[in-house]
Amino acid sequence: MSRDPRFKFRLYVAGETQNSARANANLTAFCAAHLPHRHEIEVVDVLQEPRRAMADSVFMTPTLIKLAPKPNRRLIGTLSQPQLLLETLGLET
Amino acid sequence: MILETSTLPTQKSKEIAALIETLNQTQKRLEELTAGEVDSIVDREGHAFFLRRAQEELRQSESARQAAILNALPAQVALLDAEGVIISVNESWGQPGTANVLQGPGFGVGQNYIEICEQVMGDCSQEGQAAARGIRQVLEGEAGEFSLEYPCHSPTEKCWFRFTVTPVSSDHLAGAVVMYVNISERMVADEQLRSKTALLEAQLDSTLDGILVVNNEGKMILQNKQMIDLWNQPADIAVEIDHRRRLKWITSQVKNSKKFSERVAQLYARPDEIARDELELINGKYLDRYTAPVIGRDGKHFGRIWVYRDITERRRAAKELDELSIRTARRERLLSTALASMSDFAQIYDQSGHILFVNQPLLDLWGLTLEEVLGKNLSELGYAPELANKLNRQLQSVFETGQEVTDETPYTSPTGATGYYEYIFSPALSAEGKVDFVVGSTRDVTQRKTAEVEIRFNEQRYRSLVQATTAIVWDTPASGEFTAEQPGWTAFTGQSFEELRGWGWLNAIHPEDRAETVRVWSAAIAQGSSYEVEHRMQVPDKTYRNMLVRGVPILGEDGAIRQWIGIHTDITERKKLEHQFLRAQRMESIGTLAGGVAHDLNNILAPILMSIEILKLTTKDPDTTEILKTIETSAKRGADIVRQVLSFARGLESQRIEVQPKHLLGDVESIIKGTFPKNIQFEISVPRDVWTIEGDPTQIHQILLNLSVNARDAMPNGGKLAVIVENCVLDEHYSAMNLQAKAGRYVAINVSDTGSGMPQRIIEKIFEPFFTTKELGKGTGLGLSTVMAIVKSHGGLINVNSEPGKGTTFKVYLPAMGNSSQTPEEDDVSQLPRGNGQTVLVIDDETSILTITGRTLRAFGYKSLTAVDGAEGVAMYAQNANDIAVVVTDMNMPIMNGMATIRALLRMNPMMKIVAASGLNVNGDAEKLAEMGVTNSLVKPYTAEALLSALHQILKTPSNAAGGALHGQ
Repeated sequence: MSRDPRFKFRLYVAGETQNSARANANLTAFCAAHLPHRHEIEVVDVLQEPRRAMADSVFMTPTLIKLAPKPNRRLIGTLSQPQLLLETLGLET
Repeated sequence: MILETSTLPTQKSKEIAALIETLNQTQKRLEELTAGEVDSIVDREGHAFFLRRAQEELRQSESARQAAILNALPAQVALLDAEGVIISVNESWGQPGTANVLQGPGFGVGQNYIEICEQVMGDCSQEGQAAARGIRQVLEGEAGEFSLEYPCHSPTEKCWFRFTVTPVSSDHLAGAVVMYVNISERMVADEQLRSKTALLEAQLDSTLDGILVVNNEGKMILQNKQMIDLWNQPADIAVEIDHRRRLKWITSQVKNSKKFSERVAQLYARPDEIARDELELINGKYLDRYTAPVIGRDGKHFGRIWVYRDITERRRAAKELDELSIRTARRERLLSTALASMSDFAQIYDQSGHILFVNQPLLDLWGLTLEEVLGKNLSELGYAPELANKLNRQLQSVFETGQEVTDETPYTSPTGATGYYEYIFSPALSAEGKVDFVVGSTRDVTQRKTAEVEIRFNEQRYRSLVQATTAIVWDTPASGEFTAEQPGWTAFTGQSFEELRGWGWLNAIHPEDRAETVRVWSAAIAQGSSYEVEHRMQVPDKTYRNMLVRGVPILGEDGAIRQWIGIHTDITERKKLEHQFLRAQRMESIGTLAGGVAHDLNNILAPILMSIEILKLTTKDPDTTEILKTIETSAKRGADIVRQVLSFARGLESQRIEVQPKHLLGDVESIIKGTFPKNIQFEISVPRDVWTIEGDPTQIHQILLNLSVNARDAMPNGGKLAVIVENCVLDEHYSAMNLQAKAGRYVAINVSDTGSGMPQRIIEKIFEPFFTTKELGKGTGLGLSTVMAIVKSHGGLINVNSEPGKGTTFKVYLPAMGNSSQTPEEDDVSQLPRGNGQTVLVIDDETSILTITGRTLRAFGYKSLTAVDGAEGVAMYAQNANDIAVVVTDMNMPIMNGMATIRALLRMNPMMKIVAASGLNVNGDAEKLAEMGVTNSLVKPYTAEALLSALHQILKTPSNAAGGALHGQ
């Protein structure tokens, strides 16, 4: 039983655009490497569900929101820099 | 509505231009800020605006993807709009060489494809019409999709196409995608498949099997008539190309539908699998199903073949066979168990005598297993050749004649069990009445046989016993009549089996006894009690014997009488004895009576006798004197009789006084002369110096009288009676010879006659009480027994010598008085004449005499040789002629008697000195002997003194021819 907290992510994308696709890929890889078995990724397509973007005050895609653990954090972009990701998610060792 | 730019008021257009510029700048700036990482902007209302780059990308990728997809398809694809106008096509569309019915000018983009199709001419015009219709239906939403397959052959090859129309969106009319796929390959493949199975087609209708071929697309390629009939496919199912429908129907016909479908699906899913199984249909049919993949020449998999065969019958037959074999197996097991539990040994043989079956007990007896014996002949199984041949011959005869054969035989099994066996070979007939095989059943009867043997042995013993016994043993069944041979009865009575059988045996019974016998016998039978009776039975010489009969019943196991066994015992002698005993008792009582009477008579006679004496004195008349003498004689006779009676009545109470033999003999003489017939000569001799006898005069008188009477009776035609008395010393040697005698001095009284004599067997019996050779009533048979009793009571002894036709001599020795005045000098043993070592040959048939005489001779200086009969004597003499000085031979020997022996000896040596020893003291022999020159004789039994003096005498004389006095010591 892991005492490490479980990470919840929500990634906002716009269809199959390049950046969005890249962001998705990068996130998945990152989670697999650094948060194995303790992450959740939800992908929301703003084209399909525009209201959710409004609810989360998302106005750019791709946008990653860390829902858990608190505090919430927000990252916009392709998520190509793992170091930045680590800092933002507070996972620096 | 968007206005044209030229008519827009300047302000609006300016605003629009400025907004557009702003939009542009914004986009640019956003891109800079986000380093190109952002694709879209999402406004407050959630609408996403793609940034320029993303838009571009999207568009490009979208179309590229679409185009890539479309072009990758091995099909010609065109996108139509809702009206049927071609919006786009893929690369394949319109390619040359793709014999596409709708090969129109150009690619057709922008043209209405529906119209194109409708306008197709020629071979494919029908298809064109159908296609157009299909497109319209799909565009208008009437059909979900449309497909059409059609051939379109070129001169060089065969082509088929599949034309499909699919709507773009399922929920609103947005156009359709039309596609042509070249399915020639598949169709060719299908045709190949068909040609491949064409070979089968030829056989299809001739085969009984139902054949179905389904290709990989689930289409029925072929199915034969049997397939239709086998399943009873309804017409619409039968023609169905789409096998799925058929399969569904078939599944419904099968009993275990679920399992069936699963299996079928499995088989279709594994194209290479070959399988065989059985199906049971709901109508009760059974089908054998075989399925295999169908592979083309090029190794490509085309489909699956299914072969069905109706095995209902076969299955039923198999089931019946199964049941039959179960029943048969059960019967076999029953039979086997029955055979095994039998203690009898069972075998089954075939025509050639080979074993078809043998039960366990016999296998155990042989020590073999069933495998080892099956098919073998008895000769191969350790049977002795003779026995095996006999059994095989018997088996053959059963096969040939159909008659069963029974026999028994001893047999020793390989396991070492020896026994006696009874067996039957029975024929087992086939349905046509022929002998199929022979069943042998063998039983161990060893015990019964040994029992039989024992019974026979016992019966043998019984019979031997019966024969050995002198009584008659007989047996009857419970009814009491004779039903079997009675050897004992037949031997005794002389009645044959025929005569004695039934109640015939009664004829052998004395008539007076028959009634009683029948009465007692019948009662015994009726009551089952033992049977006892006395009756007289007739023997072959017609006389009757008295028989005591005893019979007992023999009970069977059930308690009923099985048979009677009886014994007849001859009690004639006993009855005689009883008679005699009774008579003796009578005699005794008479005797007692007589004693009394006699006493009285004595008293009566005494005065008479006395008176006669007186009268004799007083009379001078000769006649009177004569008369007186007669009276006196009579009276005296009367007195004598009385006395005799008295002595008899008194028994043997005796006194011991000195008795003068002379006086005694005087009395006897007078009686004899007075009473005996005139034709009997009488001689009496009593020496002067005779000793006195210590005894009872009356009794001694009795002896003399009885002997004399016997002598008289033995000479009915006259003869000579001699009574000679002499002194006698019986020495130890004599007493050794004659066991009755004590050594001492005796007076010997010899009474001899020249009468008929007696054979040896009579002599043995004469002293027995009641024994008489006279007829019943004549003579009491007590005479000699009285004599014997008297002699014994005096301590004397009596000897008899008799020769039939010659005469008889009785010798009575009575002890002499101890201190007689005339006692002669005691014979000093030392004065007896001794020998000088001469050899004496003694011949006598009595070995005791030989022994004693030999001893005596040796004791007195002789050597002795002995011979037990005349022949031996002669032989001995022949061997030892020079040594033998004198021969002493008994005259009375069997076979070669003394006379013959003497003659033989004298022939050998006329000068032979011979002494004849004889028990008879009468003249006949003496004369003959004297003629031969034998004058020396010895009277048997002889004392040592007599023997020695005789020898002395004879040896003294130079030859035996010299006269010698007759010695009688």
